[in-house]
Amino acid sequence: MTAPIQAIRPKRTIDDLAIFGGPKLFDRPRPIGQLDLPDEEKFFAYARKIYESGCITNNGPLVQTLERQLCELHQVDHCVALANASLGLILLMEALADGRRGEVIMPAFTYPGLPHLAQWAGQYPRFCDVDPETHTLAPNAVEAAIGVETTAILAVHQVNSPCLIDELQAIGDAHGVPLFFDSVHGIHCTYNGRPLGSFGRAEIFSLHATKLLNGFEGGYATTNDGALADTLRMKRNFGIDRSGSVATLGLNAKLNEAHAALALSALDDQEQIIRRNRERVEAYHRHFAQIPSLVWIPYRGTRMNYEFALLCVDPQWPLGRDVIVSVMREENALARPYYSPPLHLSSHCPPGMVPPHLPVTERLARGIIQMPVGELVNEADIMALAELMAFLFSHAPEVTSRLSRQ
Amino acid sequence: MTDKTRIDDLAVFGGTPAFESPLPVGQLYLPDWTDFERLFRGIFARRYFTNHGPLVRELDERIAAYLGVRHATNVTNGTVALMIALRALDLRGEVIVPSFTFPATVQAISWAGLTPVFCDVDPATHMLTAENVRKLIGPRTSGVLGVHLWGRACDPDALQKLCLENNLRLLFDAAHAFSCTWNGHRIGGLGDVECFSLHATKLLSAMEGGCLTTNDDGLAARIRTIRNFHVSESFVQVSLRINGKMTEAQAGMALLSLDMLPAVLERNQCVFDIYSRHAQTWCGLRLLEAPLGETWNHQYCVLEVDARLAGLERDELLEVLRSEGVLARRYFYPGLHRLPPYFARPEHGNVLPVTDELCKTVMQLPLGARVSARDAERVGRLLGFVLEHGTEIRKRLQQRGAQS
Repeated sequence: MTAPIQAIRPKRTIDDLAIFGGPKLFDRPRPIGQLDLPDEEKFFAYARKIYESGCITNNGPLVQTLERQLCELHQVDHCVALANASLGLILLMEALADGRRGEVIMPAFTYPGLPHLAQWAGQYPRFCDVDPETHTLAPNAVEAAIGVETTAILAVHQVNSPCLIDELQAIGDAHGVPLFFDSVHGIHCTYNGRPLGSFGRAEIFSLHATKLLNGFEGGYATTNDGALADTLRMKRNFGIDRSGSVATLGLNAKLNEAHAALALSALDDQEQIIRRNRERVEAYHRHFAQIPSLVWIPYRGTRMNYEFALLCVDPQWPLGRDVIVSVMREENALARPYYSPPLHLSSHCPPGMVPPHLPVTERLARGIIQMPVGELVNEADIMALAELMAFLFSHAPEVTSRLSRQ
Repeated sequence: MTDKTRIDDLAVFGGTPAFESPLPVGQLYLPDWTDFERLFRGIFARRYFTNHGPLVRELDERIAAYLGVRHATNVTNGTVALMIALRALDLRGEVIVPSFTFPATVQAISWAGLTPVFCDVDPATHMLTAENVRKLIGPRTSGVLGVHLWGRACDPDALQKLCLENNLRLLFDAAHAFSCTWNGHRIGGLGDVECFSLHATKLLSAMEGGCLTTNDDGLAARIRTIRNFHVSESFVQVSLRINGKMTEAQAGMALLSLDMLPAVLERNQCVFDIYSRHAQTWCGLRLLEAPLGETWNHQYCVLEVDARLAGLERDELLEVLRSEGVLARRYFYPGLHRLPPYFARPEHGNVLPVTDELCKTVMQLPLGARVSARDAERVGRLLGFVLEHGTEIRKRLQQRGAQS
């Protein structure tokens, strides 16, 4: 945890809270993204190669090197680098649907982009409930939702747990429906001892700066299916095949060489990032231990990346989850309600869809705070946040009454 | 290199290639390394990598000012720009588009959930005309997507009038047209929205990148909302969004590219003028000259091959040039109407005789950072030599083909 120590101003009365006009707890924002800065000299050494080769984009040598290294990291046969993960998900859904217009089964307790991306791919989202422990697609809900119109199952690995892969694969196989994964939060995680990346038909990862492997923006697909990898390679480059002719519907999802250079220079830092993430999560646990009715979402799995610190606020807590988040954000702690509102009850739900009832999703979406994490948050910050929460717990009635007057 | 004096000197027949390192098509300019290093040190010091950062905002403003439009919005790449533009216009049904264009123009229409209807182009300008478009307007038509091919404006006045009369939205693929003018004004404010490419092969380069320009405030708000999923960048209610964000790395490179623009424009024109001078001696090749009375970016050197006069077909000429290290290319081949997923599907329209002919005859010569004035002179003389012996070279190529 190397972020510079900055002024932290403890609260004595509720007038000291920024939401009531007091000075902010942090003079600079404490974000929720990883925002790792890879070794600059490594980046410039890779970037030099752009000047030597003259290749700036279009499947350049740095992109190809990155793809080979990611194949090793994920122990998978094929990796296709992409301009971002969203474009990868669009291409994959379109490829798997193979010209059909249908439904893609997906969770609603997840990234807001997913229902949009399905529609760009000519598909309609079909929201399913999640498992209360793993927060990933509930196999029985998937089984119940599958029908003739289903073109794919899009399962999302959560930061706290991989999907129930074996159960979902069995359902997909039984119905002849392809299963693939949004693995943006699953980098470096394992399932039954095997790294995520080679499960289902394909998995999609992100190189966004807020993720562990920082390539500014970017993404990649991993798969053991050589034909699917070839299709994705064509589709990321306007559908152009090896002969130079357009063979399928495509678009531009090419990763440029400078983005690849940053991702390459970040690869060596991954173990240290995971260690620092784990230390931050443990610091949260330690410093919040004395505050009643708060639970941390546990990491379930032998190897995890500890990307998020997810705080579950008991309904008994004297302030509501959203009030706590508002107070924190005013203090420059950019906490967020975690996956809330859930997609089926949000503006991301396609117009005209009758939202299904998803009880587990709706309960989870009410209670969790995504706390500030990443390289710009250090242990002193976490201690200050613990003091703030303890202060809120003991001054809750005053805060509530002042807020109701504002 | 010494110039070719005999047909046997040609690399295609075993001679030494004219260029040791091949000359590519495409601008491919890079800033000085010191500028590159300063740019990225600044990004790392700010730790601001993406998500509507200061460099992207600066680029939005500088492009808008340069083009004289109210709004410029930078995105991941030119294809994503077109996809966002089509959704921002809230189109339904069919969009009329040329087939004689880069695949992305048409593919963006498909990704936006719309049906492309192909329109034939004018044989002289290679572009849509209002007369051609008018014949294709039907009850399902909601928009026209014109392409400012080779940096020339695509019949904007007549198309705008036609679209107003028929209640259609008009947008332009301006990938080739950065810094080109129409009636003395820089292209960027025509139609409802225009989409530029900031790909490395273009005049203004973000390595990869795209930019939407419009004078319509409401449309700009829709564009900015569609390009991301963030609450803080949601300005109006839209039904479909995408991650189309440009990064600080891309925007920083484009800002450096903007600074280089005057020098690059001058260099392009110098190389183009050399080609143009040689073209007067080339029999069977027509070079597309700068549009009269307009400022042009001289980004592309486009030729039409008349095989009867040249003595050899376009593809034979390309084979000869490419073996010499002159990586001239056909643009575009074949037309999109002859390719998946559009081929043999009558709803897209497929009778396009002018397009079919252009696909057989048009080619581009290398022009950009890797082509010096000296290179251009040598390419000019090489082409002169090849055309002088066109018929004989063709015979030799055919003999060789028959033997193998």
